[in-house]
Amino acid sequence: MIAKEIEREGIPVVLITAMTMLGKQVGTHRIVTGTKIPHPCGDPNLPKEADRALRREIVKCTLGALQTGVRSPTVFVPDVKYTLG
Amino acid sequence: MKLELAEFPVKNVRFGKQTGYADGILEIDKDELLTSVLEDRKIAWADVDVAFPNEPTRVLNVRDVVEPRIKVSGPGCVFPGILGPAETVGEGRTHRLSGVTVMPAAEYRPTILSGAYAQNTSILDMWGPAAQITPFASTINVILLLKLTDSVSELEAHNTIQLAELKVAQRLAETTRNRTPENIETFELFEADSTLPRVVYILGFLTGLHGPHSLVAYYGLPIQEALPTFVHPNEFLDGAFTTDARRGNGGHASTWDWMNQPMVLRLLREHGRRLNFLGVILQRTRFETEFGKQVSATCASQIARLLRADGAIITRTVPSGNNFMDAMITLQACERKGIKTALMTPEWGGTDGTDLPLVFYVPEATAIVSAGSLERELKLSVPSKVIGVEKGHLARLYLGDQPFDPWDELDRDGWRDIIGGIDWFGGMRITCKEY
Repeated sequence: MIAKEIEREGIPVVLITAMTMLGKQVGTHRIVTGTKIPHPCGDPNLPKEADRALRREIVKCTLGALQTGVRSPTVFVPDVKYTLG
Repeated sequence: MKLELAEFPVKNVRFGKQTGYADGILEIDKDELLTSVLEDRKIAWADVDVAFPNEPTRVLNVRDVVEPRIKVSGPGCVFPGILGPAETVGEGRTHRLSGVTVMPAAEYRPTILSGAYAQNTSILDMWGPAAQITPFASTINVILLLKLTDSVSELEAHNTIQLAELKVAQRLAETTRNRTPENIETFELFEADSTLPRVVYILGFLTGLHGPHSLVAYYGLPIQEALPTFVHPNEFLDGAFTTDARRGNGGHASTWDWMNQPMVLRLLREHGRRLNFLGVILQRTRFETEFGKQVSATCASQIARLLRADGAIITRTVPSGNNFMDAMITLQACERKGIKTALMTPEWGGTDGTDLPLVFYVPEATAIVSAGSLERELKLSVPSKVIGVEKGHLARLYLGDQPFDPWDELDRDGWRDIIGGIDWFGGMRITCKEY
């Protein structure tokens, strides 16, 4: 909802969330699938280097999403294997 | 499995020379009770007080509520896994003292200072506006005041408070052992008319993975990351479900709420009349990915289908939007398997009820029952008696909050500040009208 308000001012927004269904429902235009609900931008359970690579990929995917034109709520999935559950 | 629940109504509670029950009067020998409570070396100080309905009494530091019950015949005990072995309960005869509760009001030095797993408490007002929204303003409440020693860990604090309240409840219920009850209600999932609709209850409840206690325990075992499982409704009535006694927030269901689970009781009473009650699917909610939520929903709906359910009633606990998604996704999974659903939940909506009432929905959610508001404000007036806080001291419900004077008027910004204030299971008496 904050994303929508910011976009109303003409600034494109990307929402990183593990709850993509919720993001789509409220009509956020660009959604990036995050790791887990308590920690969408990384995974503290991973070794430091793996977490660093994961974070980097999420940010890269997010920057890509920001530069992509969309017509309706669109989910961008980072090129990583997420821990399950 | 047949359970006889024998009722001994309590109309008055008083202190006396001998703990006993007669003619609706529960007499408590305070010294005897306190001596037994203080046997636990982790309790530094204890006292007992009583809060009566309609009196301008305010109780602070409330951690949990239980109803005094005791098993007089049949396997196991009330509060299995805690006061006895983890033997399957829900059979034989259980005595209950109705109209009375045991409510621990406890203080201890926290080691978790913030976040979801920090200790918290709630308020009980026995009169005024807050009395309208909680079942505990209509019961006589035996308040067990506890101060724990400084060295307890968070898990020890839970164990100590819980054991004290359950033992006191057990002692009080023991007074009924050889007495004749005022009435007996029998609960059994007998073979019902096969033309009646087959109904299952999917009981969602939030539990946490990262703290000393997950919030809900089954036979004393805190439920953590678990897939849905299936239980007999009678187990609820024998205290198979207990809660984290460090977190008395009114946004959680207390042990009393699980023992007197209104949806379970109603479905048991309708069994063989309007419906064929199949049992209860327990569903731990708040999986941390949508994938986890989908797997949990798939599993719960599959148990319902294997039971050949025509319909499912779905509820959930704790005001978390994250765990609400689990309930909605489960509803969708049931409908897709051809099982009709009805969801009951309290709603958000802001202080005046005009905000978004539900944070997430699925198109299949076409039958929703509201169980009231999570966000209405409350104005509480000045009490004439305060239990749970020493004279001149301040109180607070959450660590890190601004302390307040419990002897003063209070403005609270949600019903969850009142013990029993949020109705997860459909037990409350308030209705609303469109005008």
